[in-house]
Amino acid sequence: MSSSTSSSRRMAFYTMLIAAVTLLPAMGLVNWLTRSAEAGAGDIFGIQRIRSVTESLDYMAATEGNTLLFIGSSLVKDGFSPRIFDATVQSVAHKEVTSFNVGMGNMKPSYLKLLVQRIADTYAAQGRRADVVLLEFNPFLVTQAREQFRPFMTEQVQAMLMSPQQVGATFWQDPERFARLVSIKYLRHGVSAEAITGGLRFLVGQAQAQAPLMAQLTEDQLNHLQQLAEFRSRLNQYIREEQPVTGKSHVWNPVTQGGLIDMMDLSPQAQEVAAEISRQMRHPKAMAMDLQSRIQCCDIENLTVNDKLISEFLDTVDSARRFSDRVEIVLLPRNRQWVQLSPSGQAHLQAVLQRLQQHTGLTIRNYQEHGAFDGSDFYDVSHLSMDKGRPLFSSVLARDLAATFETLE
Amino acid sequence: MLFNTPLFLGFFVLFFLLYCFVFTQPRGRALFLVVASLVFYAGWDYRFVPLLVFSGVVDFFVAQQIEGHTEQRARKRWLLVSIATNLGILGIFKYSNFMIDSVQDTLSFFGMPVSLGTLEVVLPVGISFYTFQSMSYTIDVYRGETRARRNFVPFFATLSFFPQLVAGPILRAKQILPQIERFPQVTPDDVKFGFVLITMGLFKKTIADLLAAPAQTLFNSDAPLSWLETVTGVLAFAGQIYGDFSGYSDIAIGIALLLGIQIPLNFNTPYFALSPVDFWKRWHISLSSWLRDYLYIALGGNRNGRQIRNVFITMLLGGLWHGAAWTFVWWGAYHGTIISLTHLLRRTRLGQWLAGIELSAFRWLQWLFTFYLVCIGWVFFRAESMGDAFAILGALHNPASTIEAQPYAGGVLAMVALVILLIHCIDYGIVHRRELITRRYPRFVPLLILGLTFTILIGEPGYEFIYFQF
Repeated sequence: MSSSTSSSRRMAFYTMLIAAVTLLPAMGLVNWLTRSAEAGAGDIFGIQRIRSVTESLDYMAATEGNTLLFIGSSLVKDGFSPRIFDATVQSVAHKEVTSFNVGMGNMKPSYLKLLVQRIADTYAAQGRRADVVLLEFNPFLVTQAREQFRPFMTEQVQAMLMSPQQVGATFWQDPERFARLVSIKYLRHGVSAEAITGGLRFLVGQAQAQAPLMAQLTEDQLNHLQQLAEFRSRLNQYIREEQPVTGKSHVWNPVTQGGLIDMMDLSPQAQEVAAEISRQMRHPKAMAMDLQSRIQCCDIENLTVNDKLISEFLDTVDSARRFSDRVEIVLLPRNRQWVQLSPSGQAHLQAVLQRLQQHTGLTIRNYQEHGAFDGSDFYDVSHLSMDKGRPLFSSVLARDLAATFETLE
Repeated sequence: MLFNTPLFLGFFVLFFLLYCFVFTQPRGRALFLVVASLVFYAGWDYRFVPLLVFSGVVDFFVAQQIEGHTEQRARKRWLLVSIATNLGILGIFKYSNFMIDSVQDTLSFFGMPVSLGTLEVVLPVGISFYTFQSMSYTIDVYRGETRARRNFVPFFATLSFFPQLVAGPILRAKQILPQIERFPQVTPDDVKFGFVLITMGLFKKTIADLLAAPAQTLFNSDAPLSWLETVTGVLAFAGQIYGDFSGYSDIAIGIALLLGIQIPLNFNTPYFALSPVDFWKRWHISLSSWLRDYLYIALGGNRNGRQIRNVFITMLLGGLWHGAAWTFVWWGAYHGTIISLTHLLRRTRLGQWLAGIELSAFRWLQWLFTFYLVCIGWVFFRAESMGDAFAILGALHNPASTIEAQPYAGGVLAMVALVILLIHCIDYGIVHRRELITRRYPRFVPLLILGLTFTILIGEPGYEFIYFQF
């Protein structure tokens, strides 16, 4: 070996040492910061729920007996209680059923497709099948407006929903994307750079948009906001004390079968606070602001549909059929007191439902106009409330599905 | 393959290991460098690899012809072949549609509307950089400043040198060819300073991407904005383009240093300039010196009382080099004008009197006025059309505008100003404290770790460097 070669190698080792001294601590810091942010800051990045769901898929697939998976958006997460559902089926159809809530925020069909593919792979790996799969079809998550909403979240949600094999497969199609997905999934705890910067811009934009509205609030309305914050803090305190295992309600938990903490889990005092929060949240000013934001983000009244998202929903149905013989489509109740579809909105919804029916041939359970629900069953313009809407919907759904379970062994 | 992506990190680690442990002899290294550079370039668009090779082959051959001829006319003819080839490539790929559109617009302005269609051409990345670099080689050979090379591989390795291939700095053959031919030994100081440059370059790029949002708010807005937001948008773009381009240059120079190749710095705290002339000695130094040496001097420089004309032509073409649009032509003409006015002012008694003032307050005023002039130029540079540029300039000079600013607009402006200052402080350290940084490197490591952490944490890998489009 010549002296120049050995000298070159010495310098190469020196370079690697200098790189390691800088790069490794920086990567460690990023890992620590994202872990802390993700763990400590609630579910603002939407990742805790996704991770906990994907980590629980094996558990769901391994569960013995009659099983049901209800997969969908935050409407399902907030509006479906598996335990109330199971108890109702038991009392009506005398069948032991274990249902799971697989609802997550922001689940437009492009994400839902990845999730259901992953569930199908998990069931296939275990050689199991689910008895019933309910797929939520949320009309305002398939709109053009929604497709454009918060694009900075896309990469991190996809990274977390994809299995290691799916991530690996992207290497051959797009090595750049593969590298990003690996970094998000394994270095950054699911928190992408885009989500941080995009989230900050989004929050600044929100703050700027809301500042004039906030300035117009009366003293009563400001007091109301403060009261609401206090009630929330008290409820969180109760939950921490009374439910130490399921403290973080949004984290998927086998105890609640993926559902959120229900009223029955709480003491009477905590129940009172929870009911008060729902009531306070229905303040007309808050509801009007929420409706406005839903119109902007999701075109909730006109429902101008994005075809790509519909195709992705149809792909999702195909994936669901891989692990269950009984797949149904469910539309959750709409808060008709606040959300009135325009004539074009109604026509769009009708056309989409017909298309789904034609392409899938599945039963579509549409609770959008169900007479059992009114404005007091929701805590905002779209989500069912913990105290009234969720138990009501879970039991109504269970009664409607009881016949299905009676036919199961 | 962007420098600020994990994919490039993977590429570079693999390249570096092979470069240091397998290809240790100059001949093998040069060939390996060529292969790696072509892989890097193909990562952008493999269809344009032959174009890069073609440009290199022509100039390699032409340089030998120039050197082989003693008769001046023949030498000149061969030089013209090189210039025509390189400018021809640029003309076809970069300016053809601009010229067609301009002819159409002119004819239609005179009431003769015609449709000449457009050519289906894609702009090859880095074309403006490598054609200029390649031309400088044949011009240097013509001028007798460097000798024509007989071995194609080292020559082509310099032309396609991947750290600076797609966005400069524009290197001269006489600077880099001797280094690629013998690959000087890397020193520990090279490694340390290289890492400082790479880290700070990535940090600056991240800052630049953050500044993109307020700049876009202004330049992509359909409706007029308030005065405060207009100032913020212009200032943000000034910071964005500086952080973006100087960040890229720093990374390129830093990577080259890790390979033992010395490339001169491309920026020297440009917004600290005290006159437009001073600004161009500090901004994109490799281009401004290229234009000076190969265009301005070729036009006659400041001889025969033609300085003003030559400055103007040089800056006009410099503007056009940046992009095929009238906004860039205006930007070049604008800089040509303010540099010319600076030269004219210096010739007057008033100018000489002003130059003699030693008051620091006057220096601050000079600095502020220069920065203001440069920012006006950025409006032409960034605006989508001349109409937009003039509308923004109108809003910028109308502090009495009745359009109300968004809440917290003052805070955003303060943040933008602070960030630009921060980038300059970093640059100042890099330019003026190299010796201190390498001598006391361990003291700077925590800063580098923080800078890198910030970059990895919020640096969005999808953001391209602005100068790639040129």
